[in-house]
Amino acid sequence: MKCKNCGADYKLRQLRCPYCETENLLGRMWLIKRTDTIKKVEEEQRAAKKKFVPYVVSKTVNRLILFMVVILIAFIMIFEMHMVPGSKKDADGKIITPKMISLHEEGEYYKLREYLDSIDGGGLYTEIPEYMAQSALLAYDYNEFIEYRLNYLGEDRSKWEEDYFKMVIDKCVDIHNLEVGVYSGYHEENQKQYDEYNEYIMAFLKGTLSLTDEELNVLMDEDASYSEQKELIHKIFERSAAANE
Amino acid sequence: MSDDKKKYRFPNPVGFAFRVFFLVFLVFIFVTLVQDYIKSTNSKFKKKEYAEDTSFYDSSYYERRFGVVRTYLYLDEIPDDESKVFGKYWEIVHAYEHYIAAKDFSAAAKVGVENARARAEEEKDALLEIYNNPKFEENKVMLQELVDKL
Repeated sequence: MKCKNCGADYKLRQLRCPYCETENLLGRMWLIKRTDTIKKVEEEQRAAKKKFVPYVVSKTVNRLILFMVVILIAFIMIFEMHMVPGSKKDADGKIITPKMISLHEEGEYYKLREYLDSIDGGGLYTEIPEYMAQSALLAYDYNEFIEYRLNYLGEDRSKWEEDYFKMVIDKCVDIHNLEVGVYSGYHEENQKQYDEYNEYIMAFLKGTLSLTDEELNVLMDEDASYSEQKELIHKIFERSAAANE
Repeated sequence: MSDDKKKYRFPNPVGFAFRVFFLVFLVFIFVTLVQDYIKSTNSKFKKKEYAEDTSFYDSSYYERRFGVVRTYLYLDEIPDDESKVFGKYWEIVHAYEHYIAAKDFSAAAKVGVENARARAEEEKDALLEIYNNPKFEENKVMLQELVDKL
C-alpha cells in the first residue's frame, strides 16, 4: 500500500511506514483481527483437547497417582507403628505398647507374636525391645516344636521317619540354647517363658526319649562335633522306634 | 509433526501402561496398610472363616491325625474360638496337646525328673476338664479314646 504522508510503498500488515514512521491504521486493524482469531482458534483447540479421551484418561491416571502418593505418605506418617494407641518409647528408644506388656505378662506368647506381626509386618522387630522380639520368636519356635511333637509317633506314619525326628530334636536344641537368630542371649524378662518351654522339652527328651544326662549334654553342646551329634540323634531315633513298635 | 498435531496424539502406550501398573500397586499398598492398621487396633478382627469346605480338616480329624489338624489350623490362621465351623477341631487339638504332654511328663516322672509328676497331673486334669465338659458333642468319642489311653 501507499503511505498517505510520503507516498512510499510498503506492506499492508506493517504498523508504521518504514520511511516516515506514519501510523498505518489498516495494519493495526489487521493485527487486532488476527489476534482475536488466534485466541478463538486456541480456545477451540483447548475445548477439543479436553474431550479427547486418551488425553483425559492419561491426565486422570496422573492425578490419581499423585493423589495416592500423597495419601500414602500421610497415612504412613500418621499411622506408623509408633502411633499405635497407648504406645510409648522405653529408655532405649524402643516402642512398647500396653498390649505387648499385657500379653507378655499373661504368658500369651504366641498371641504376642501375632500382635507384633500385625503392627510390624516385616517381622524384623527392630523397633521393639529385644526381649519382646526374643519372646515372640521363641513362641514361634515352641509352637513348631509342639507341632512336630504331636505329629511324631502320631497316627501319620510318614512322620515316624528319621528326618522328621531330627526336626523335632533340632527344635528342642534351638529353644533350650535360646538360638533365635539376632535375638539370642539371655533376657531376664523371658525367664518364666524359657522355664515353661524348657520344662516340657526336658520331659520329652528325658522321659519319652529316655536320654541320659550325658547324651543330653552332647546334644545341647554347641561346640560338639556335627558327626558326634548326628550319630547320637540316629541312636536315639533307633531306640525310640524300637520302643514304639 | 506440528505442535498442534502432537497435542492430539495418544499418550505413549508403554509409559501409560507403566503408570497404570504403578497406580494399581499404590492402591494395593494402601489397602494392605489399612488392613494392618485395623488388625493392630481391633482385637476382634478375625480372618474370614472358610465357611464352606472343611473336608480336608474332616479327613484328618476322623483319622485321628490331630497333629495334622493342628498344623493346618495354624497355617490357615483359623482363630482359636468356639465357632461352629472350626471350634470342634480346636477343642480336640487342645485335648490332644494335653494328652501328649501328660504322657511325656509321666515318662519324665518315671525317670525322676523334678516336678514332672505334678505337671503330668495338671495335664491329665486339663484333658479331663475338656472330656467332662465338651463344647462339641462330636468330640465325645475321640475324647473318650484319649482318656482311655492315658
